[in-house]
Amino acid sequence: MGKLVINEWKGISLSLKGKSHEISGLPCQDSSNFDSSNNVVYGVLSDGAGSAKNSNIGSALVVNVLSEYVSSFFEQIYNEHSVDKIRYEISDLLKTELKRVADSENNLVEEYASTAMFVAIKDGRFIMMHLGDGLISYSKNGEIKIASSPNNGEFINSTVFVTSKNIETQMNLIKGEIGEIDGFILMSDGTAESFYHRESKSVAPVLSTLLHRSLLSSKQQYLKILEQSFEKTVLQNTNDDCSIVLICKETSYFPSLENINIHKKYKFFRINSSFNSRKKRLNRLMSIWNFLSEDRSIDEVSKILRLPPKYTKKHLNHLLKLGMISHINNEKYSRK
Amino acid sequence: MNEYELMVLRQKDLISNPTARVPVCLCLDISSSMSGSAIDELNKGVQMFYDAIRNDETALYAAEISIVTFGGNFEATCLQDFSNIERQETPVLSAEGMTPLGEGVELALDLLERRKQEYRDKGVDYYQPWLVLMTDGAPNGNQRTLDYAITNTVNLVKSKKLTVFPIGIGPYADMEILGEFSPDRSPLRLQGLKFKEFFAWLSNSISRTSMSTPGEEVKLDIDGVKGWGSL
Repeated sequence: MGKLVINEWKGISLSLKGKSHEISGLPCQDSSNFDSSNNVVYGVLSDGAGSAKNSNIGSALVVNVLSEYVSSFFEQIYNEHSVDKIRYEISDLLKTELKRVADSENNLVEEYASTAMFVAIKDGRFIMMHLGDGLISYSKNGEIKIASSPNNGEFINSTVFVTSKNIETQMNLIKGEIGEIDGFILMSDGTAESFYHRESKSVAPVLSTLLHRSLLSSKQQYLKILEQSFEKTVLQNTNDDCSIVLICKETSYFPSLENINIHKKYKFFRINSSFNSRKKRLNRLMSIWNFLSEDRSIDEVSKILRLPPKYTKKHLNHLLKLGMISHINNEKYSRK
Repeated sequence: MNEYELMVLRQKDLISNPTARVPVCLCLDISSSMSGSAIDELNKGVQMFYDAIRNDETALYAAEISIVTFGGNFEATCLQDFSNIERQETPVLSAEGMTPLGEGVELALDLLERRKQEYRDKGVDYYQPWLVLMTDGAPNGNQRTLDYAITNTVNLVKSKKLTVFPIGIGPYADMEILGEFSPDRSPLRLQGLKFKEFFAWLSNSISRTSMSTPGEEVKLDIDGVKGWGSL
């Protein structure tokens, strides 16, 4: 799981084991990462091939190599006029590293087969790469669009992997100005099964909510909620492992909590109480949330609210359920 | 804390894509030589095949079956067109006439190609189609059609667009001709009239295939049958 970055862009990554690997006892073969380094914010995702016995190692390797590559060479990649040069560079980089690991373990490179995709952002510009299946979406003015569609072969259980021949010819590379783009979503094919409508080539609008929540929520608690949500929904729709990377920044379409209008705040905080009491409840929850700009114990929160701990706990639990805060080691409450 | 409340997604928020399909065409010899116990056992086998698929939650929604018969007056007939098995009646076969194998295979390939196009038009994912070819004798239809059918089948198999299962029934099945349809693996001669065993294996293999994910090679569980490998 990736970590939250204090930056204009925020994000998370999640990879979960699918039903077939739960049954067979095999590890999750997907890997994903969200991070920032050298002023580059990036998300990387790789889906290990089902038949390749070391594809969990392969996908982790792909994520590590591409994370290092995009964070170290963003400017060179972005400013390179020859897209083919970058395609060959990525191909060589991945194949060399995979071969090194395969040789050291006396394995075939094909045993590490996996897909690859990344999005990297720096100074109002982005680069994205997609090889294989899965989907890259983005949000522009709050509307979710498709950047790069799955590259399956004719049949559902065939696709291109980093170990395939001539991957440079199959690689989708896109770069440009961020402009009105306010979010990116990377999905493995297991996840895309629940968010991408193949016939109409459209995506589920709920992705916009997932992006906004990733911006407003406590990273630790949101990951927990997202994981639980995936287990009850997305993972039920496929046998495959499922991964997602969400990257989002604050705009008028994805406003910060302070900038959400009061009616949306009631909805967001799921306040259904009567007209007279709901404003009071909202103010109380907002006070707690503001107070938790630093990690606090329940006693500290009670003191500032002038409420007995029993009632304070109810409010804190409500914020926990919403994913707004987390409870660190059952001691302090936090917005992190 | 009620864990159910820790949710940011509901099933109704998600896209429901159609289940990826495994199109299977059974291309069956119903020439007069199949009369008697052979056609009876074949009918029981097909019945068992349909029952097995209907009872398998995964295969039920993935498998799409069509049946082509060849026999009569050099006739190839689409007895059952592709559709979900829930909407199909189990057919009853009767034996009569000649063995126009080439004509049967050509019709089967046409049906598979047409079905794939329908999948593509509707955004339905699909697995590599399967052609199950069963005969108990030597073909006696049009030679050019037979040659054409063999060439087409081999080309599809070699380009990994078709999996073919050639099955000989009884001692007089022309295994050499069946072998010509299958460049990757030897044809299988059914032991006695063990249609049930074969169709049990077939339904099980469809189920396993329909659960496979990208890059996953589906090993066929056919220990003891040499020359057969993986899809």
